Amino acid sequence: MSAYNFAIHCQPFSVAVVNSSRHLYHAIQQLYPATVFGPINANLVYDFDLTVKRRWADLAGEYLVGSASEHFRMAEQAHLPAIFEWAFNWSVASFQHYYLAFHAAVVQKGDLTLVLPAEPGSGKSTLSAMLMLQGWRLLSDESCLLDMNTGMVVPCVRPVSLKNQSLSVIRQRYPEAALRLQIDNTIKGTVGYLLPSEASWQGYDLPCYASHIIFPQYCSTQPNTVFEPIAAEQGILRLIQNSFNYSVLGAEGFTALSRLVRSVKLMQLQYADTDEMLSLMEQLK
Amino acid sequence: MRSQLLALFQAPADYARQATAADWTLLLAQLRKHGLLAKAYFKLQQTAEFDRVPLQVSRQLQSGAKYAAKQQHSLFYELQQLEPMLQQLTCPCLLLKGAAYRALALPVSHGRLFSDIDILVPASSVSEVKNKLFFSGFYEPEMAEYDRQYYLRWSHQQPPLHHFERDSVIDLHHHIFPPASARQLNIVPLFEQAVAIPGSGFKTPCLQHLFVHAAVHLFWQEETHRSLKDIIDLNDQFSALAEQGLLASLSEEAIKIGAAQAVTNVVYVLTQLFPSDSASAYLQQASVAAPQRLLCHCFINTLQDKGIMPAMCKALWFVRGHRLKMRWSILLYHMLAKPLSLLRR
Repeated sequence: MSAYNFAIHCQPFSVAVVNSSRHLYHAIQQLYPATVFGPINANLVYDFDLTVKRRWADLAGEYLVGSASEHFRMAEQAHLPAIFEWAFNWSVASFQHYYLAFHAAVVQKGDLTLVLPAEPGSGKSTLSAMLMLQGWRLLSDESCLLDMNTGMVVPCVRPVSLKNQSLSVIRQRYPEAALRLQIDNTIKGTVGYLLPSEASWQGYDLPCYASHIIFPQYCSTQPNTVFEPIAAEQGILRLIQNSFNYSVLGAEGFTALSRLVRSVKLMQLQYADTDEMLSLMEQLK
Repeated sequence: MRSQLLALFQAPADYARQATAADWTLLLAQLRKHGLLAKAYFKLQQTAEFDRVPLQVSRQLQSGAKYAAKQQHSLFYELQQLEPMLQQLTCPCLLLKGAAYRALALPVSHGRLFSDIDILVPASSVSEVKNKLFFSGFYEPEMAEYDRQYYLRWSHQQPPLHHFERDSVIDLHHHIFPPASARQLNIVPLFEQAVAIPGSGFKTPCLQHLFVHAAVHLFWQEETHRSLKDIIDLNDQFSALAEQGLLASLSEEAIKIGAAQAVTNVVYVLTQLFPSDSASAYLQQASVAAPQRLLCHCFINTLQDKGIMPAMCKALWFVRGHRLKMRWSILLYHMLAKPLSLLRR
């Protein structure tokens, strides 16, 4: 047993990591609170397993990151934290079909729970980071998990992964933001992590009903902000396009999505002016 | 390390009663590795102890079951797409392995994952079927010429055929064992005793032949990474044969095809891993030759993930499997020509 093995006791999924990298251990420890990050506990069941080790009796070279079932990726030491976070996402995206999952950020404040579906790389992490720093509770910065039995959105709180310009945008706007681990030259460029707020971690196992589904699109050339309702049939198609496992869930997934779109306000948002966008979100009822 | 998988499939109810949290964690990892989440879900669900399975585990198992259900749905869709082509064929067309188990709704198919659709046609009809498949959208993707020739000359199937739009892959077989082998199997009975699927142009081999094929597939080849899943499948298939009183005819059919030794060995392995009266009784039959015990124990060793003995057994199994699939002359040629063809590329 390596001294650097660790576990992440997240909800709804936990992961046990057999790890030989001291660097990774200390990096990940910075990203999760002590209630979530800890040693592997033999009295708990873990949903996923990951292994981080080198070849040749673990002596030299790049690290292999993967699960018992599949190899995920090779990584040099400096990139390990980013690769690890992606590997955890990959485990959830490839192996879980209990929840209907789609690419979306989810935030909540009072009676409002906003689901913000958008493709990867379209700035939803930045958007959810800003909303969280404005006092919203973060449920997820990248995957919305819908419990098909209850119709509720289940949180999946994790460090917010910010890339390239997003990092400087957040740093400029919120100099106090808890940004950790800047990792340069990954395949996605520079990656850094924003720690979830205390309220977000406190609510890490509290599901809620979505009130709004807003399809956001940042476009710097957009002359004025567009914020308008869209039809249910358009909304459901766009959710399907953003889904990880709709094709696996079939009819069950369709029924759950139909119920979801009928119970929320569906909107689309195109913006260039961030301040205006944020104030629109604050005015929502 | 004791295999959690074997413990679970040997006695699902006991497992659910006794497993510790650490066991469940390890089990989930092993089930994922072997594609057995869904199968475990069905096995545990059939026991009275299902409510002892931790919620977290049963949700992961359900995830697997949903994935398996989606695959089975896709399989039926694909078979429907092939139906018009079948109506034009003049030869019989048999579904093999997973597709056959599913079409017959055998217990072994519950939660079983599969990747390709395996079909068997008479050797003389291969080009006719291949051409018809082409006009149904299935083509042969480019592959290294050496590998392609390997399929065409020495293997019992055509290079895999992919659909140009859908993700489906068909393995078109003209035999169940490589013709390059010194061992000649007689597959005429497979066609003669094939069972028609009501309302479809497809047929399947009878249950006994499905077992013989799976046994040949497991025992006379070189790979070991799927063996655990395969032996668990064979246990389900054997139970189904026993329930229907077909064990006496299983040994007759195995002899007719020329695969009695593979079948006997598999049943011997079953007595070691999943002890049952019917498996022991099968080996007592006068018509059944003695199992190759040493070889069977070598096989059982290959089911372990780690260890020196399992590693040695896997190496032996690899060499032996190749040796069985190819005559010495062909194997020697292949051992020299394959690396050369890679170098040339």
